[in-house]
Amino acid sequence: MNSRTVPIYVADNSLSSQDTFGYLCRSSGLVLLLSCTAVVVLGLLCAGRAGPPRWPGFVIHSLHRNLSLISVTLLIVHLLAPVIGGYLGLKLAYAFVPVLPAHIRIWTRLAATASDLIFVVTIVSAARVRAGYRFWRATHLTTYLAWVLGLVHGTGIGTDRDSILWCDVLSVAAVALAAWYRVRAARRLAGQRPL
Amino acid sequence: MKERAIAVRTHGLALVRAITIAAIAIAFAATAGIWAIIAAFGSPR
Repeated sequence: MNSRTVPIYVADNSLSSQDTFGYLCRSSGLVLLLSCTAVVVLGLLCAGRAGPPRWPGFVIHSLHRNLSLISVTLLIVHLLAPVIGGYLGLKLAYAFVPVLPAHIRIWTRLAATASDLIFVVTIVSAARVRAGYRFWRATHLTTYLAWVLGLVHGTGIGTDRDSILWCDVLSVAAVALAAWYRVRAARRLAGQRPL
Repeated sequence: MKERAIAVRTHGLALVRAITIAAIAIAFAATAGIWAIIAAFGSPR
């Protein structure tokens, strides 16, 4: 019997921690885009007083609020995953400060701006009574900008471009349809107002 | 009248709860599913 050690080669299919968290960042980002789109659509439907006739009026509003909280949770996962996994050397500060550092690409800077806006809107919405209606509404309108920035970030950053393009098309179509409904509802409501 | 209002509110709250739980489940499953696809094939095509 040969006493020499025979090397055994085993295919290494294990994922590194960096890969695991990097993939989590990408997958949560994709779901986040769709979730944010649903939040924007529900917000537009809320403002247009839409909803199935048999549903009580508060259902769409409550769903808009709950889904936005789910989106914020997904955003936190999307921000923390690359930081915890050390993916591409990203740091937590890059998610909030769009101007630092110099080597970070424009797509990540756009995402940092979008996440800042989303967190501001979340805080202001939680303190809506104290913030006042006008301030709440002004900050709430910036979510459209945050949504567009998120869309551009996902498309421009380059990973999963094929699948993100499909999500982009679906998202833009859904928001355009809801916006069209919102404009029609605004005209209808304006017509109902007493002179 | 009051009983009907309570019934409508209860129905609405149940609806919100059911759809929210479904949304959480879908978000979780979609994230895990896309993660698995990326891990297996490199990109979710």
